[in-house]
Amino acid sequence: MPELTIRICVNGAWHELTVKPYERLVDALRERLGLTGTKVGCGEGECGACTVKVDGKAVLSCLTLAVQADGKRITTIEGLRQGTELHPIQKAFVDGGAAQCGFCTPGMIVAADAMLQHNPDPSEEEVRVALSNNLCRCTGYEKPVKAVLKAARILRGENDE
Amino acid sequence: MNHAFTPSAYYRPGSLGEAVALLSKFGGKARLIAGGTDLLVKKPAAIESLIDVAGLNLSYLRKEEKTIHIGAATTVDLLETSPLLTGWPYQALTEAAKSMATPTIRNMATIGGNICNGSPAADLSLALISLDASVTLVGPKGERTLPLKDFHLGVDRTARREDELLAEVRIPWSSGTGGASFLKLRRHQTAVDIAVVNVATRLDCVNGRCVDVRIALGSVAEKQILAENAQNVLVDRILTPELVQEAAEAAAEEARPISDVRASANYRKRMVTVLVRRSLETSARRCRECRN
Amino acid sequence: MNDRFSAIGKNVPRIDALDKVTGSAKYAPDLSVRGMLHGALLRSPYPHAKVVGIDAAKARSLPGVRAVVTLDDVPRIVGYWFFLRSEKKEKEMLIRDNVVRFIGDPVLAVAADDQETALAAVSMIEVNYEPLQSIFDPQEALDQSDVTIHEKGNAAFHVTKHYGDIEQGFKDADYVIENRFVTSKQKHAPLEPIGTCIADWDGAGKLTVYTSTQLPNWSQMYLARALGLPNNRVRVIKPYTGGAFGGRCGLIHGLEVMCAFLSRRTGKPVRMSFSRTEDFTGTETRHPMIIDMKTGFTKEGILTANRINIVANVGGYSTHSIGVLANCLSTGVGLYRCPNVYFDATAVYTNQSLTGAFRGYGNPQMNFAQESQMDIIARHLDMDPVALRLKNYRGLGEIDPVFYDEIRSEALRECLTKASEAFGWKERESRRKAEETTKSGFGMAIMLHGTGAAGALPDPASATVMIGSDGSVQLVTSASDEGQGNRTALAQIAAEEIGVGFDRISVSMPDTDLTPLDGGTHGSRQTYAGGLAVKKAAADAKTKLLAFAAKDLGTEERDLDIKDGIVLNAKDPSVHLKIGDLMRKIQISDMSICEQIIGVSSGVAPAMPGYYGATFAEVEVDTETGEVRVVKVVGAFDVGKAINPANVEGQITGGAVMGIGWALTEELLLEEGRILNDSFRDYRILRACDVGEIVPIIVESNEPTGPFGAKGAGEGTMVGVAPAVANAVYDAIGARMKELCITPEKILEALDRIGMAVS
Repeated sequence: MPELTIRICVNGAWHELTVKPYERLVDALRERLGLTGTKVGCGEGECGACTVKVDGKAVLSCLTLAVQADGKRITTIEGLRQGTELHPIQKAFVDGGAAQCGFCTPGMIVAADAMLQHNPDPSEEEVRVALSNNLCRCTGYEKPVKAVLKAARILRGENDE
Repeated sequence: MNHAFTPSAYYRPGSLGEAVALLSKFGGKARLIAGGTDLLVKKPAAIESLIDVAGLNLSYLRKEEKTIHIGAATTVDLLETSPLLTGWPYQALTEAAKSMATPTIRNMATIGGNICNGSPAADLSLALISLDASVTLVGPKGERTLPLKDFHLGVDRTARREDELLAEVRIPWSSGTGGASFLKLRRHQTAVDIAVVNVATRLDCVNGRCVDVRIALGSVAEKQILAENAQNVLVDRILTPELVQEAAEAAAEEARPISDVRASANYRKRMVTVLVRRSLETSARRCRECRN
Repeated sequence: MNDRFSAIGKNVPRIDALDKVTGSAKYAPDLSVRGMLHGALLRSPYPHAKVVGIDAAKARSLPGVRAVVTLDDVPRIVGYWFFLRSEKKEKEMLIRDNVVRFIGDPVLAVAADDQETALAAVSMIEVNYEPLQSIFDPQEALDQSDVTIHEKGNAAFHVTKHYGDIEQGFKDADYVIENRFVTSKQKHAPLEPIGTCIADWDGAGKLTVYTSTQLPNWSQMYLARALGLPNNRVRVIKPYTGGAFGGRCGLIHGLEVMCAFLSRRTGKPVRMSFSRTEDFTGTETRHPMIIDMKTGFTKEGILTANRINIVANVGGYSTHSIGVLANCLSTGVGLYRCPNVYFDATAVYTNQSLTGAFRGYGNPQMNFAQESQMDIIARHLDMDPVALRLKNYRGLGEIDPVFYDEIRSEALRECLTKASEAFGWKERESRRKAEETTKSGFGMAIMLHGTGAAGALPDPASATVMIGSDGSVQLVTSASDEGQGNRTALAQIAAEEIGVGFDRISVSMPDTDLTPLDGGTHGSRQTYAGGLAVKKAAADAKTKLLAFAAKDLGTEERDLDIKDGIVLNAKDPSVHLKIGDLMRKIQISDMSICEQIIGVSSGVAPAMPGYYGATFAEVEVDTETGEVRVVKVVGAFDVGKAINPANVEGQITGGAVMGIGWALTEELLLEEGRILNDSFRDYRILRACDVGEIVPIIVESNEPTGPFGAKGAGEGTMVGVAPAVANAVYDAIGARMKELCITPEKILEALDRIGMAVS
């Protein structure tokens, strides 16, 4: 099986990887780079637990081949924290009790981050649509949505009430 | 997990000629990959090569004279925000785009991929059919263009030959007095679903009289169809609620749905009447000359 | 909330929140052991068959294939810890034969160098089956004697209970109504697929299994029996778990046990990880039930008689069936006062896929029937549905008829008042939409659920509290957290009891080598039973600590207390002894002592207190398409005391969404035993954009037997939601939906029948 060499930038660091043509990006991230924060919940694009950012856009890494990510910049959940400083979305999730079992949490936070980069002042409806690929079985979505709205306020520099 | 999906080669050709040459060489053992959102779910067995369209410069959306040209590799999220599609009837394509899957999937899925998937439930191609769109294919013998309504042949079957690539979608541009509407019925309490029934209509009127109408039905036949009998009910007539209901019922007669895990054939047929009526009412509202 | 507590009742961030939001929390699929092989199962394509021959030659010769184990080697494990009560019963937990009983039943397992090879090997193995006649309908399975799915016959379990004189009860009634209710096969579908495990044997023949189980200690015992080992030669370690809802209430069918055998055979660690499809088809589900209810009542709305007949469809194997039936009894009979009750429930084997424990454990099914029936009664009498409930529910001070225990805390009335206010129940007519095709509907239901299983099932809880040399505290417990936040609540209880800051507590992860016997996380019991054990162990540690402090300070123990990690003397304000300083002294610097404070407790809770709730639902029905949209749900729950209110709110909202799903969209559809919707594409779970307004309300009645007054919350928050929605649908369209799921097609059928269809 001939393998392909790709160069991908993950959370700011470039990596050269040798991958199979049909290898999924999620598997390259988890197995080759040890970044297990991105999860596999279904492998069919329905649950969103594998959400990462590729060149700033939220995508499903279980439906992306590693070779398709060649030359691109990828952000996973592990890349949101700046040193020891939590990203405001992460902090809002912690403070707001928005992570229950936590399995959907990384995908949800990355999807929210991607949305806020493009739409920094979303309505609640827009947040729910942006998170519509991220299934959650535990929370009923209430606290995660509130946490994203709170993080949006903080990122806009508004005083949080 | 389908372990039989193990292509051993991946190509990213830099030109249409290169891509066509690869398709000619590998035939049915190769698959084009665009967004991957259909291919990597289906994971067909016995595929030896993948041919990525990412290097073919097929992501564009522009208007040239009387035609809107959309590159086949244009991702669906760009259709949602394009300024070219903000007026009626073209906004029906935006409506269809917004109804499809989720925003995350729309970042990846392409218009070409949605069309070539050949699903009778596809949302984009239904709106495109109501807009008289055509598709341009590129093969070893050159280019050919055919109406999108003739491109679908059956479930998962299109007119694309093994050595051809869908390069572009074209929508004829008109003066834009017409109204259009795309409606999608899903299973209930769910905003993200493959259509149970979807419908796209377009109406154009002069002095309140219908001069042109398209009624496109999705998910109710082996391919997407134009309900021609229903269209004939309206052409050249002044629109009334009774006439619209008559057209809707005629459309239901032309539907030939199946029963599956999502819905029964009877329910689908019944819903064609409801959706066509609702869609025609909305199209009429949006059509400046259609309100009476 | 109360200010007298320092940790109780506070929304402290969960102890694992940082781990989860940064992606560093390790779940079973994230673990790896050096040199591990990968296992894959070959599953039966037949619903009922005998395996008569296996040809694995081609597979064995595939490079990288290391072992194949079959049903000749590996027993199936059925039943649950109730069976561990005797050696004889234990033996019934192991099935050793070559019969497969549902589509997806594992036939053999392959271990290979990687997962791709293992799956390829599975596809190369030829299995010879002798198909047997299959049965899918439970009534047919009961009536037909020539198709037996298990040796002892198709009736797996039968639970009956009678009170009073049922026939007399019907005679005493002014009205008698009879209805059949049918509930659907729901799937837990947690975000982490069920399941993944790694099995690893050491050189001395001790097995370690990494697996996400709700019951680490019982699972250890199941595995030990299956492998013929003493308990202490099996170690179960539970990593972070991505949700369970009852779907991991024991071992997973064919997972850990096959994996253990593969590992023993190969001498290497083996990992096996089910796909989402295998989760949908090969793991347990909610028991579908047919519930026939005949109820007699007076014209004042007082219940006189209730006859409940249940047929539950078990599928090919039973784990929790008897418990699920018994739970229908305690809540079906316990919720309302009724002098004459006849309860008869049978769990029946069929060749459908597995059933087991699922949030509510029979109560959602029973409650759907009961609360629909009550709504019918209210309509019949033109009585406010809330008033009817208040007239009949069994309240504070009364005796629960199933376990003969007094109801010591109960705030159902407060739940009803608060929920109906937040919902706008009294003013609902003013916002009723009665447009041409959109009809509003408003409905409600109440519920009772038991906390824990004390007296009904073996229900131990243990805890150890170790105080470190710097005064920080290690809480050691087998309590399994699948996302409820119970480890955080237990830490809060320990902190409060000892008198240290919440941030001074660290909580272990379950590991049967280290964490003592706990009955598991099920039955809404962990905060209550686990909490009592933690409170006792913490109190024990505190007592021992104060004994040392008293000696050190030269005072009486009874004058001392600990606040914020400082030993204080109520009679002498100058006393200010940091427990860290004291611990350093007694553990390290005073070499004549060298003693660590270890608080210990193990035992059973004194009761199984009921917790109560009321759910109100508003729906809109599109009478042209039959679509139902849930606009608003208000749920008020009496949880005794909310140790962590945010945790409880999460359960209420999450429970509401799961309940709406069960009512409207979630059901596994089977055809001749084959599941047609085995993916998220066609098994519909609500998404963020599907959820209307949900209002969670916490009510506290202070359960005297509970730690700081707490009872359960996790399951009951889902019970009552489906009947509230169904009752709202009736209110909207005047048609009673007695069969779940309520789908648009069923709505249109109903509207056609009553002549209200508009399309």
